[in-house]
Order: sequence, then structure tokens, then C-alpha cells
Amino acid sequence: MTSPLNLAIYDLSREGTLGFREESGARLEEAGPILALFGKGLCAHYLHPKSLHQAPRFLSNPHRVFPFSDGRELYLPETLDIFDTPGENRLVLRLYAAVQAGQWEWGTFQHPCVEEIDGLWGDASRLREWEPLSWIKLFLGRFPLPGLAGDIFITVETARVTASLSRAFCGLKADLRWFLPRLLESSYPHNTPRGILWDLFFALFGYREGVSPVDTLEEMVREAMRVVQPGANLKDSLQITVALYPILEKLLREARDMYKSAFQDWAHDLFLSSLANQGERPTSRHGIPPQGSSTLTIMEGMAETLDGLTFLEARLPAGSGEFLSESLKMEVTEKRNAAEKPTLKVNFPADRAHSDVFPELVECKRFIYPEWDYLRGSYRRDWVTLYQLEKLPDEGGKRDLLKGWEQLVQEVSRQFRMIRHQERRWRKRLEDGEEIDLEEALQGELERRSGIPPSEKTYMEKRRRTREVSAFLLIDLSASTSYPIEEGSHEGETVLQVLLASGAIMAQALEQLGDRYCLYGFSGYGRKQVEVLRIKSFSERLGKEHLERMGRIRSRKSTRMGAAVRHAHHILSAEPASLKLLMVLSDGFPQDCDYGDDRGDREYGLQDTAHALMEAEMDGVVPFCISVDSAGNDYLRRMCSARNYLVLKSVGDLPRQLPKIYLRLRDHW
Amino acid sequence: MAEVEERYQELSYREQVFEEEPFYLPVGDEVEIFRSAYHARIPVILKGPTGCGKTRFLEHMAWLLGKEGGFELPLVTVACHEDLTASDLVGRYILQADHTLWVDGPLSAAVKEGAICYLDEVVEARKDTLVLIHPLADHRRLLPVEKKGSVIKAHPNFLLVISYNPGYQSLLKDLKISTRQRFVAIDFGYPQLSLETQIISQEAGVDESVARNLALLGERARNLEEAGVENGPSTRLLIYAARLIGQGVEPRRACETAVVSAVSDDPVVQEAMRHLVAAVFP
Ligand SMILES: Nc1ncnc2c1ncn2[C@@H]1O[C@H](COP(=O)(O)OP(=O)(O)OP(=O)(O)O)[C@@H](O)[C@H]1O
Ligand SMILES: [Mg+2]
Repeated sequence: MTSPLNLAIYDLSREGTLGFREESGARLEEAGPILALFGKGLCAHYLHPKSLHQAPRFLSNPHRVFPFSDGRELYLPETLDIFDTPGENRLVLRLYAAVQAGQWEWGTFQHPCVEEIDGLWGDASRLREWEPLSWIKLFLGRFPLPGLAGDIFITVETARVTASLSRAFCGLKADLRWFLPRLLESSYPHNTPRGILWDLFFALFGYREGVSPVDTLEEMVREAMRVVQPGANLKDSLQITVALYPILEKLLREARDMYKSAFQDWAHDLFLSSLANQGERPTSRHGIPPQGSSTLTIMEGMAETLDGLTFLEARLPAGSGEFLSESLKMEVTEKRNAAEKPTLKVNFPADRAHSDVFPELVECKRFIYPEWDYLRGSYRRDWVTLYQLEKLPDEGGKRDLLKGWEQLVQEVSRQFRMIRHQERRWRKRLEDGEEIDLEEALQGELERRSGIPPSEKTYMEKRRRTREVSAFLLIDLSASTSYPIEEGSHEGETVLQVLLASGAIMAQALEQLGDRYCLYGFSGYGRKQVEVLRIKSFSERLGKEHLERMGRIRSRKSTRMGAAVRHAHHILSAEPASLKLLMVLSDGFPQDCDYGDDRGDREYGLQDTAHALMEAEMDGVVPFCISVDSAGNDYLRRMCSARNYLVLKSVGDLPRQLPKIYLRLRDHW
Repeated sequence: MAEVEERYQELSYREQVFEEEPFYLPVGDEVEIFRSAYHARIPVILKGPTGCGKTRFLEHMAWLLGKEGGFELPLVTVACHEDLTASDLVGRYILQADHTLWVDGPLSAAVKEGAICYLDEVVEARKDTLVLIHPLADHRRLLPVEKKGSVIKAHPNFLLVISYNPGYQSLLKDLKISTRQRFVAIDFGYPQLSLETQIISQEAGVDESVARNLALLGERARNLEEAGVENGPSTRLLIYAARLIGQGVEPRRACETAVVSAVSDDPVVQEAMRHLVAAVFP
């Protein structure tokens, strides 16, 4: 049912930090982002790295040869320090990631179309709460012992995916040849369904050292063999699950006393129960099904139903919201071509119906924005309501934002003033201009005399390099920014204070430089109430009152970043400048209560924000994201291209870095 | 004097006449489209990422159209850069001991002798060059030579082709609509797995299985493009890797130098790419 090596991978994964060998071992912290990218390369889907122990037991436990992904997460050992060389430890991690990523490539998450199964197996409408494994759960829930069926299915399906991987990727094939025998070595003898399934997996790959009862195993291998053949698909795995189920159930029934606890487990697996308990399952939920004959009848029925199903590659189409279809996407492009604003409605004053819920939002401008839903691959139309506030309802007391930064303010302001002057100096090497550049002209004459074609760029000009810039500073005001900083000279201040101080320093510097800029903050709660706070607009000049107001701002709620970015884009699109910069300062992941169907789904917010940034970029805005979250690399990398983001390990660095970044962007573009 | 001219040519452009067929494997209907465009003398934009075969395609087309038409059709290639000016393209006077001498730029040369003139990465060039392109790219087919106060009427065989990488960099340096709409556009992407396999194996002379593994690596590594890698490995890089392997370099090592390091400097991305390499090559 498992082997010393497998147990070691699971156990050490938790406790291995003791005596962990840095030279050879691998840690999830570092390896996770790498393997997630690797998985993305392999199957074009990004899976979030998670520790094996965070996985539902049903998906990952020491009785499994490999963990099974739920389609969103990638389960990996927290530490892996079993083999002596780093290469060998990496190999195991690579296989773990490849097999789980492979589930996408080879169709584990395919599903029949909802209409086909509606009514057939209970209420298919629940499937619309889309989740990659939801259909499989519905299927497994039809078995008298869903947990047992789940064990069979996962074993068979993992074998199918592993075999396909090994056929397609020669390197992985070699990795498997190395790993599988080691994993099988001295497996614990255990004459239970799990033990037999463990042996079945290896037997399918030609390893026969198992300890299972020979007849049963032979029979099962015969039934299951086709799953490792080329061309096997999800349906094969499901059919084989149906075929193997009675064999193992019979085995159980013959020794029912021995496996009492296992029955409980298999009937009540928590992961499956959400769906399993709902369906009118044909047998009692409390233990051993009454007779073998009823199981066989059920299996026959399921086999028949399976035969008739067609599986779809795509995910479930329509969803809970109203979605922007192909035609609307076209609308967006058309509008953009006509140099109009992106799809957006402005309504104000805010409608009354809303005012009961959020009284403080009554008097502000309201904007409606779409949102990108990566699961459906389309926009959710008019999805987010955003309020632009001039003032926060619960502003705190006064506080001197720039305390402790005085010297930096001076330095940066001086530097920006100098740049302004420099921009008025002579520009040289022009083909045409106000005056002849003597130096260049002499050089040209020298070249001419030596018979080389001379440069014609001998003019110069003193004209301000009119670089029209509009810079938008967007500051994250979410609750997480209320964390105090733990080190450095600004210890004890909150992250927000430093974000705001950076904004204030930039503002003062930009006043010196003469570029147009504005400052906004954002937060909110839920899609109906995204807040954007206008701190300073483009047209205002910076005054004491702005700095004072910034000093009063306190951390707010969530981070629905996509909407805020779209709003900034909207405001920027009214700017005539040739360079439009959008700088987002934040402390972490885009997150909101309903940003995606489940709160834990970070992917949704991330993809939406990435889309919002891309929309802006397509429109000529240069976005730049700065995160002061030390884990930021992982997701910023996926939201913006490498040139458009920066992660600062220490918040305290931001005020000093921000002006530098600004100048670099301004110069570069 | 001859020496001067030679050096000048070396620095700024390349003119080639193809006697032998340059190897090109069509990916879609680009050959037919280009042929029709050439016969109608409509200028062409080649769009696509680096190293996907644009240059090779043109070499092939210059050879093919020349052969079909029974004339010599040279290909003049100019790599555009920020400092490239109109005079660099059209030509300029240079001074000799006691007189001046006009030297044609690559564009004038191509216009006069009836070549295909390929302006590679044209968005990089300075804006004033576009002024030249406009009258040349519409029905007038005229090249103004400002310094001489004359215009050149293009040779009937002449065709203007520009290329343009619609990637990230060009978002701000976009082509003007008025320029873009003078051309028909052919989109290039990286070839699909089986075609890329053939290309790699043909170009590098490696066996089918090595080529296929490299093509597979390329295909998968390009999946990372949305995830922080600006450009996945190009066909060109994969061919380099194949050549190294052909020289006896161990495959993983060859990919390390030709692909992993070439594609990204980010250690996380590099490590992920190494895993991809390891997945493909044992
Ligand atoms: N369809 C193809 N047929 C034959 N060879 C190809 C093809 N596609 C790519 N190649 C190979 O890829 C290499 C790179 O192609 P090429 O130099 O034409 O790229 P490019 O698109 O011009 O790149 P760049 O934009 O960097 O100039 C060529 O040398 C050729 O070997
Ligand atoms: Mg080229």
C-alpha cells in the first residue's frame, strides 16, 4: 500500500527541516515557483504550489504513488532531502509536478456537457459552480463507497497520465525508470484494496514485485491494461473504475470485520462528501452495502451511461454571471480603434437603491467596469461597480507622513530640479538645427579629408526636450497594509505609511520636474463596492492640504486590483501626453471576497489584473507594478512582463527607489 | 575609392542574389500570398517574433520569383536601427579630393535595379525614413531623392518589404496607420511541432528524434510567454541547439547554452526551463 520511500517523502516532508541538508535538499519555498512555471510550460496551465499536507487527503496521501491535482493546485513535499544529490531530489519534484500538470494535458478535467448528464445523476446544476474536479466528484458520488471508487479512479487515472507523459517526454521516461523501482522497493505487504491498487499501478508499468493476492491482481491488470496504452482517455479510466469497483468491494465484503474503519473512510470521505451526500445514492450511507447484486446492477447502469457520454475538452461554458461574448470583445477593439474610451458607463449621482447599503457612497461618481474571467476565457460584462471618492468616510487623525524622510525629500527634489534644467541644455548631433556644432563639423571635415563619408549630424539645438508625461500613482490601501514593519529605521510604522510617504515624496519631486501626475488610492469590498480615492488629480497643484489628507488615510479593505487599474486607465486615456505611466504600489496579491468563485482562488484576481494591465498597455499606457511583498515575485511575474515590475524585499526601500524607477521609466520609453 | 564603397556596403546593407534554392518550409499559404502580392506589386509587411523564418522566407521568395519570372531578383536587406536616417537609405554625396561623388544608399540601389528591398524592424528607424516609404509604397512607386532634388521611378521588378515584431517593445513605437495601410500583412508565428521538427532536422542535419525533442521543448517553453518570459525560444535558437548536439555536445548542455541562458536571465525562469529540458532529454 505504500513503501518506505513514499512514507519518507510524506513524513520527512513535514519534519525534514531538522538536519536539512541545504546542499542537496529542496524546499517548497524555492522550488514551488520554479515547478509551477515548469508545469505551466508543460501543460499551459498554472497550478499553485502547495504542500502535500495542505492537500485534501483524498488527493494526496502516502498510499498514492503520486499526488493528484485538483486542477488548480500542485502538491509538493515541503522539503525533500532524501537522496544524496540535488539532481535526484530535483528529479522527484519534477516528476511530481509533471504528473499533476499532465492531468491537464491528457484530459483529466474533461467533462460531459451539462445537458447530457442533467437529471441522469442527480442535479447537474451544481456543476456550474465550476471546479475542475466537480464532475468527477459527481461521478464518484454514485458509487456505494465513493471513497473506494475515488481510490480506484485516481490510481487508474494517474497511471494513464503517467504513461502518456512517459511516451511523450523521453526525459521524464528516464526519470520514471529511475524513480518507480525505488518507490516500489520493499513495499509493505498489505492485503487491502489500497495495497492492491498500489500494486496495480506498478503492475501496469511492468513491475511485478507486488505482494497482492495474485488472482485478484491479475484480473485487475487485465481490466485496466488498456489505460496505459496509447490513445487511452478519461472515459477509459472511468469505465475501468466501474469495472474494478465490484472486485475490490467483494474483497472488502469477504473480510468486512477487518475493514470496518476503512468503510467509514470510504463512505465518508470529506472531500467527496460535498457532492456524494447530496445524490440519492442507492445504498445506505452507513457502512457496508447490503448485497453484491445491487452493486453489480448499479455498475451496469453506470457503464451504460458512460458509454453514451461525449466528453468536452473545454470547460463548462455559461456561468453565474453575464459574460461578455465574442461580439463584445469586438466592440471593445472597434471602440479602441476609434480612439474612444474602453467599454465603460459613467452614472452619477449614484443611484438611490444603492445608497441604503453604502451610505457614504451616495455622493460620489460611480463607474461600471467589466472583469476578465479566465475560467470562461471571456469578460464578465458590467461586473464591477467602482466608486470614486474624494474623501474617506473614516479618516483617522493627523499624522506627519514625511517624518523621518526629510532628507530624502530634499535630495530627490533637488535631483528632479536638476533634471529639469538639464533638459534645457544643448541637444547635439542633429541633421538640422539652430546652430552648427563646431566640434562635430570639425570631425566631419576630418573624416571627409580622409575619404570617409562624413557624418551629417553637425547641428545642435537648445530646446526643451518636450517629453509630455502623465504619471498615475495608484496606491494599495487594503487591510494588509496595516501591518507594521519589523525592521529597519522605520520599524513600527505600517506598510501603508511607507506607501503613502513614497507617494508624497514622489509628488513633491514631480512638482519640481514639472511632469503631470496624479495620486489615487484603492481598496473596497466585493464587486459592488470597489473604492478609488482621489488624493490629487492631474489638474491640481500639490498643496499642504493634499499631504495632510494623505496623513489621515488608514488601511481599508480588500484589493480588487483589476478594477482599480481599469479606472486608472480610463482617467489616463483623457490625458494627451505622449508618455502615460501607471505606477501601482501595493503590498501583495490582488484579492477580494468575490474575486473569483472561491476566495482561495488567487488565479482569478491575478488573471483579471493581468488583463487590466494589458488593456492599458495596448492603449499605450506604460504600466509598472511595484510590490513590497517579499513573496511578490511569484505573482507579479505572471501579471506583467519582466520589464514592468519590481519587487522590493524591504518596504523601507520604496521611498528611495520610487523616484529612481520613475526616472528610468521616463527616460526609457 | 573602391575600398571606401566596399566598406560602406558592408556596414549598412547586404545584397544577395540566390542561385540555389534557400530552404524554406511553408507553414501556411504565405508563399501563394506573397507571390500574388509581388505580381500586383503590393508592398508587404512580415509580422512575427524573432527567428521565426521571416528572413529565410524572403530569401526563398526572391529566389522563387526570380526563377519563375526568368530574371534575377536580388534581395537587399537593411537592418533598421534608431540612428538610421533617410540619407542612410537613399544615399549621399561624399567628397573626393576635389570633387563630390554621389553614393546610392541601399534603397535607391534596390529601386533602380529592381530588387526586393527588405527593411527589417522598420519601427526602429527614425521617423523621417517613413516619408520615403510612403510614395514608394503606393501606386506612385517613386523614391524622392531630396539631396539631388530628383525622384527615382522604381524598376518594375522592385518590391518593398518591411518587417515588424508586434511584440512588447513595439507597443509604443507602433507603425502609423497611414504606413501600415500601404502594405498587405503576412503573419508569421513559430511553426507547429511537426513542421518545426522538419526544419530543425533539415537545417542542423540532426536526426528526427533529436529535432523532435527540440521542437517539443520549444513548443512547451513558449507556454511560458504569458508567465513572465518575454520571448520563448525561437526556431533559430532551437537550430543552434541542434547544431551543438550535432557537434557532439551533450543535449542538456547544448540546451543550457543555446536555450536556457538565451531566453531569460531570471534564475527562477531559467530553473523552470532546465526542468523542461530535463523532461525532454534524458
Ligand atoms: N519555415 C522555415 N523553413 C526553413 N527554415 C526556417 C523556417 N522557419 C525558420 N527557419 C530557420 O530559422 C532560422 C531563423 O529564421 P530567420 O532568420 O528567417 O528569422 P527572422 O524571422 O528573420 O528573425 P529576425 O526577426 O530575428 O530577423 C533560419 O535560419 C532558418 O534556419
Ligand atoms: Mg530576420
